[in-house]
Order: sequence, then structure tokens, then C-alpha cells
Amino acid sequence: MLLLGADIRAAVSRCGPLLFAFIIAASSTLAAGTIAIFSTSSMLVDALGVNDAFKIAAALLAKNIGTFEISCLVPTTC
Amino acid sequence: MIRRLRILFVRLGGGINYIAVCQTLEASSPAIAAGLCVDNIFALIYFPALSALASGRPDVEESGCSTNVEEGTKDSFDVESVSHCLSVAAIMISLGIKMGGRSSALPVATLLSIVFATFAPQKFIKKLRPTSEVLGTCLLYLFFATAGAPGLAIADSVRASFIPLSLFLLSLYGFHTFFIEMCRRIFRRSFKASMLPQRLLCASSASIGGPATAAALASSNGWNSLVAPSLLVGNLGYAIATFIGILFHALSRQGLT
Repeated sequence: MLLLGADIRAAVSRCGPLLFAFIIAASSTLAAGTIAIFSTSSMLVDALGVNDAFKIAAALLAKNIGTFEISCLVPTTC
Repeated sequence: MIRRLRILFVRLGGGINYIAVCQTLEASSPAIAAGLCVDNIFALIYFPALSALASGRPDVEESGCSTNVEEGTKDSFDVESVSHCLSVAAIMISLGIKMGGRSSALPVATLLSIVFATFAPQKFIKKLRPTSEVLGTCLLYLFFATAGAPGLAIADSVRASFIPLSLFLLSLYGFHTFFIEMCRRIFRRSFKASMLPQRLLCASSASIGGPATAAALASSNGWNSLVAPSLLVGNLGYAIATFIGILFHALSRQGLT
């Protein structure tokens, strides 16, 4: 249901310079995630097991490109 | 500990991509809860830091974007829109299961929802958005509350994985910030408008947080021209992140095991 707000055409046509800034931010998360998994994979595997370690790392990466949102921060004007 | 975890889960309003990736890859409940718990701690440090960096900066001029946020959609939460939302969601999930099977149901349903949100008649979709946000967020709260159900297993899982997950997230958040700063230095002449600190801070907030946190950052600093674009790019994050996460899992697992 939350995805009903994900209008890609509106994002591309109405965001202007912020769209490129967002692409930079999302790419930075992806690059950061790659470095993070390479540097901590052995510790994550020891702690979570080989299956869950990579799954949770990927989910955390997706979360940090997509969403987190703390509802109390949402202003009433939005 | 469990009470604390539940409080943390209730404070999460989004996480749709996290849950979609976890469900698709069939991660265990204790690991899902541990990841959420540790990430929440980092996010609660990151957002005030972002806010501190943003304070005192003026609004950017000539954004080229509309500042209107979905006008005329605030009062459309009624029986009709709730019924439509539930119907659309049921159809998307049903098609997702049929086309992708149980393991790929969520990515397929995500893709179908994005296509629907992008190409369905705007008059219809605009009326559904406020309702879908409320219902979707309520259901996510319900999911996070049930994620606390495994009890002591979660406490043990968090304890065992706290340091490795903290190091992973420290690298993730740290290098995210580092790369954005590097890009700002490299592109500040060729992409001057995009590389303004205000836009990069909103973009980072939209990426780490989501549409609402990015809009909140813009709004609280008086950057009115960035409120609507922040919501839109945050929604773009919803659309792409699940697929990037699944691809990242496949590549990292292949490369490191």
C-alpha cells in the first residue's frame, strides 16, 4: 500500500537537481555497503550464520536506500 | 529487553524495503529483529547529526520544482478509498504470488505496484495515496510488533550480533557520508545546483530515512522549495531499493563465500 506513492514519472519530472543528488546518495550507500560487507563479513557470518549474515546485510542496504522513517518526525504540513 | 525492542519497532514507520528483502530471502526472525534493532540505534544518531548540519542554511532558490504536496488529497480517507486500497493491495499480492511464486511474490508485487502507481489515472491514484499511507503504516506496525514475538531468542540474537552489525552499519553510514562529500567536491562545479549542501542533506535523509524524514528536514529548516521534491525522491527509493538489496545479496554472497 505504501508503494502507491511511488510515482516514478513524477519523481523524474518534478525533482530537478534533487534527483541527481538522490542518485549520488543512493550510489554512496551502495558503495558504502560494498565496503562494509567486505570488511565485516567474517564477523557477521560468525554472529548470524552464513545464511542470515548476507541476507540481513542486503536488507540493511535496501533499507538505507529506500526507507526507515520515524513517524514522529513527519511534519503536519506534509 | 523485549519491551525495549518493541518500543524500537513501534517507532519505525517505514522499513518496507527491509522487510521485503528479508521476506524474499527468507531471513530468520531473530536476525531480522537484530538488524532492525541495531540499525535503529544508528539512525537515531544519524538524523540529529544531519539536522545539526542543516541548521542555519537558507532555502535554495529556483528549485524548478512544485512546492505543492498532493493538493486536494487530505480529506479522501473514507470507506470508498479504504475499500479501493485493500482491493488494489489484494490484487497486487495475488498477482505477485501467481507470477513470482512464494519466494518472489514481494518483488513482483512491488514492481506491479510501482507500475500501477506510475501509470494508473492520477485522479484515481491521488485519492488513494493518503489512505494507502495510513493503512500501510498500520500494517507495518503490526508486523514489527509480531517481530518481537520470538522473545528471548531475539535478546540473545541481538546480544550476539550487536558488535558485528554495529561495525557493518558504522562502515555503511560512515562511507555513505564520506562518498557524498567526495561527490560534492568532485561535481560542485559541473553540477552546482545538485551539489548544494541543502539538496545533498535532503537526498541523504531521503536515502537513509525516507520521504517523510527528508520532507521533515526540509520543512523544519524552512527549505519550502525542497519539501515536495524530497517526498518524490524518497518514494523513488521505495521503488528501487528492494531490487538493489536482492541483487546485492546475490553478488556479495557469491563474492565472499
